[in-house]
Amino acid sequence: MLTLSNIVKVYGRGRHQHLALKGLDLHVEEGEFFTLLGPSGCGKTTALRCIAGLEVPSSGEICIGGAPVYSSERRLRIPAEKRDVAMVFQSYAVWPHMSVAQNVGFPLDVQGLDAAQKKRRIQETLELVGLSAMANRPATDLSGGQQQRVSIARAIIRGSKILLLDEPLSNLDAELRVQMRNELRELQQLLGVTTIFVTHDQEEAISMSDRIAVFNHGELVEVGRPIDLYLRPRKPFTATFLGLAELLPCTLLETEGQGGTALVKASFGEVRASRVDACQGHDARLLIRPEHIVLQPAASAQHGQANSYRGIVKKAAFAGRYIDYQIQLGRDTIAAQAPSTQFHQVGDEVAVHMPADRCVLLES
Amino acid sequence: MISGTGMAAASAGAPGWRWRGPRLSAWSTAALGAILAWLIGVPLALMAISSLKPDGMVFDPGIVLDNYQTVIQDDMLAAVLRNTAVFVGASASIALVAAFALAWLTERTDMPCRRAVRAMTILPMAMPPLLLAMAWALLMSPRSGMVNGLIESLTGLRGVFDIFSMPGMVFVQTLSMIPTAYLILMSVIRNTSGELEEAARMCGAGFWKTLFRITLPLLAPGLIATALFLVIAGIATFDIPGTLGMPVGIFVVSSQIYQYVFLSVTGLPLYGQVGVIGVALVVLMLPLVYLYQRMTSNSGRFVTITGKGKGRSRIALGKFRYAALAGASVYFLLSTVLPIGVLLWVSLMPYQTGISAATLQLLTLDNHRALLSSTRLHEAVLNTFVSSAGAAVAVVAASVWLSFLIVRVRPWGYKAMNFASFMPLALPGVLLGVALTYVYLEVSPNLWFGSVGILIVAFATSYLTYGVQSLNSALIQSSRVLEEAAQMSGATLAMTLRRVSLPLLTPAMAGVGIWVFAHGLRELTLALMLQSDRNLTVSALLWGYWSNGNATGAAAVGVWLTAVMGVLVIIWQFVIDKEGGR
Repeated sequence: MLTLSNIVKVYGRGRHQHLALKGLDLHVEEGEFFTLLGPSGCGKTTALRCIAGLEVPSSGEICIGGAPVYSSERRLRIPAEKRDVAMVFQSYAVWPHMSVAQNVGFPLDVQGLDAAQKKRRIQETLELVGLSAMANRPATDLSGGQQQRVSIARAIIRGSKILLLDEPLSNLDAELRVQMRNELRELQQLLGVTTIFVTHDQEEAISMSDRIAVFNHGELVEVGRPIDLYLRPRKPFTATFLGLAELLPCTLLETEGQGGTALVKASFGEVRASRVDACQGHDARLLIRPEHIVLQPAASAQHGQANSYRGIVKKAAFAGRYIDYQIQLGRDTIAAQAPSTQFHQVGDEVAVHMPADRCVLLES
Repeated sequence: MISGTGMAAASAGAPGWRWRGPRLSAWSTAALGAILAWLIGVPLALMAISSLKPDGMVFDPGIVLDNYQTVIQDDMLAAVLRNTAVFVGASASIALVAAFALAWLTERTDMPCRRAVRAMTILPMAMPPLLLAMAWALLMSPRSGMVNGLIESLTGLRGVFDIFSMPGMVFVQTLSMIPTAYLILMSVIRNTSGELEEAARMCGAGFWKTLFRITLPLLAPGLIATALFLVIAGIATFDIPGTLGMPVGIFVVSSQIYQYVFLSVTGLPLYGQVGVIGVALVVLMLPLVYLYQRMTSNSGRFVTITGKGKGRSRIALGKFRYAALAGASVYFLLSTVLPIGVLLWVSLMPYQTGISAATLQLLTLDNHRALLSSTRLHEAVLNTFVSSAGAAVAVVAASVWLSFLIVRVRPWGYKAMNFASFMPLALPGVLLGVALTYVYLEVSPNLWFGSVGILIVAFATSYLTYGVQSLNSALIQSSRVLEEAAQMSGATLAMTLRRVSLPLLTPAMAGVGIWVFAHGLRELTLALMLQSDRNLTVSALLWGYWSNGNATGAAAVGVWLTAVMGVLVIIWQFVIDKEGGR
């Protein structure tokens, strides 16, 4: 549905030159909810604006539905308004001089629909976003969440092939953000529209997307399903950017175990870990997420269980649903999160279990 | 004139306005470049050429430096320069301090009646400088001034105040510049976050330390820009030096040029010498204007970053609250109540006289009756209306177009265009008048010279800067995302402009239109420099009455002009407020 090939975007020139995108390749399937995720300034918004046509790449090719809309080689550049791509802006960009219905109906004016049809479509769309009672209100009268809905309604009314969402939830307060997250996802499923979503919030990305593309410094780090990126990332950046992660230095002992596992040596002992990728060389890093670590009182632990070690609690911080621990383990101090069913005191000896399929080997 | 947020803040208009089809932007740029060159470049060039011609006639043969020699050797020159420096320096600094105090009082303190004081400080804009000078001449002329008469009757001292003097000129000029300075400083202060000051207070800094370490450095760009603006406007002004200085032989640059053109010893305009002074003046003004343009851009950036002003606490003045209010009211008294009072009084008298029980018997509407039935007034009103309205339409149209290119499209050379739009500031009215005279005397004298059309061109040129500045800042403030949203809805450039950009700019355009119209009504200098019996305006008529000694007739014209201007200023403020509220 959407393909970006070797997209480069350079800002400024000479010494002030800045490479915002360093040769980006992406492919998005029809009907997919595809998220561009990364820290601010990583190039994700630039990529989105290049797809929209609001920004012109320095080189490369963009195809929508198989047809090129930008190609530096062919010197082709289809303007934004001709791309049949809709967009929801971070600041909503609701026109202050129009009513809700006028805002939402604007894309239909462009198509030249007759008044009766237009009215019906506006009504349908407003119902879809839960604003049908507000049609004639001035747009500036609305709350942030309602303006957001107007902006979404305006983007979907035309039935464009692709919907672009530029951090649409970042200006909402926390509770509303979670609610809109679900609504937006449901709406996308209902319409089946191919959606490109830009965000720096990993929780949004994980909970909404079919696939996520992780960006850093203008480069694509990794693309995959949320569950794969979270549980079996291939790159340290992905591991640390999505969720909490401990990356412990280790050395490979046995490269091929049964079921794609490997045996490594960490400072606190031998660990059986999943191998996602062939690590180059001898040194590697072991990913373990704090919430995957199982803690038990040292006395009640079974002796000799694989991937189980003895540690000392250095810190314990109560956070409601769970407790944040710092555990001294060999030469390393690792973070662990455990449910608040049990509370280990500072100084206690605990049994630390790391399930083998949650220990992932990454390049060092 | 109000400083816009300027250009540097326009980085929002980043690259990639994708409708700049190369043709559209190239044509627009070329067309606007040509218009700007015609309006500003050609008059300047002709003026420079004229300074090198023996008789100042542009198409005369030969090139000489005689005019330069004449001007430099003229003893007048040193005096004129000294007078200009004193006049501009003193009035600009007093106006700056007074306007800052007023703006600070109304924006940052708990002085009572702040809204009223704000209105009373802006409203005097309605008073054309010429009228203000006239009114103060009626009050403080050494022989017949009403204030002097009052003092004489009380103490026996004669002619205590003499408005026809350098201090008198400075006094009236200061009064006339305060409203503009106040408006600029008010927005500068308003847009600078009070939180920044509160943060300093929370760090333990006292009032004075906060003022000197935080407030003034934050406001410095705005203050310097305002000062520059006042200096530029002060050098350009002719109304007040012409009314109060010229009759007693105190000349500043602008009145000296007027003298060379209309009152030379030979009886013929000394265009060559005017050209010399003009060239020198433009050379002097250009760096000021350049600096001003840079400052307004920088201060704009400064202001935008910190702009968060709601809900800040006001500084408690305590027992000084009412003293502050009294001080602030003095300005209204001097700039409005006394001048309008005296104009009204004189306009109701058969001859110029003071207020007493005896003269109360003489009250008459004859002056107004005579004025309102005079066909010259009818013509003048029509000319004034047509030239002001024409200029307003022209300025709005040109500024929208220019600002859109400068802020949004940013074609090759947009910075030069932006600077060119500031150039009219460097061209005082007397010079612009002379320069346009060169152009249209040479082009087609019959059609243009002395016509209402030439007034429209002159007014539009002179007010273009204001229009472009205002629309630049309006465009910078109205987010580009709103236009991108239209584009993403499938709208073409034309539709986006029609449905989104222009409607959003309407309040700013209305504000510019009204401002230009009002300034056209009160414009004296250009109307005088380009006058003929075909294009007499109300201001020129007023000048005519006044310089022929018809004070009562002039006062009657002044009363009506002030009334119309007052209404316009109120409407203008209303429109501007609405724009800000968006």
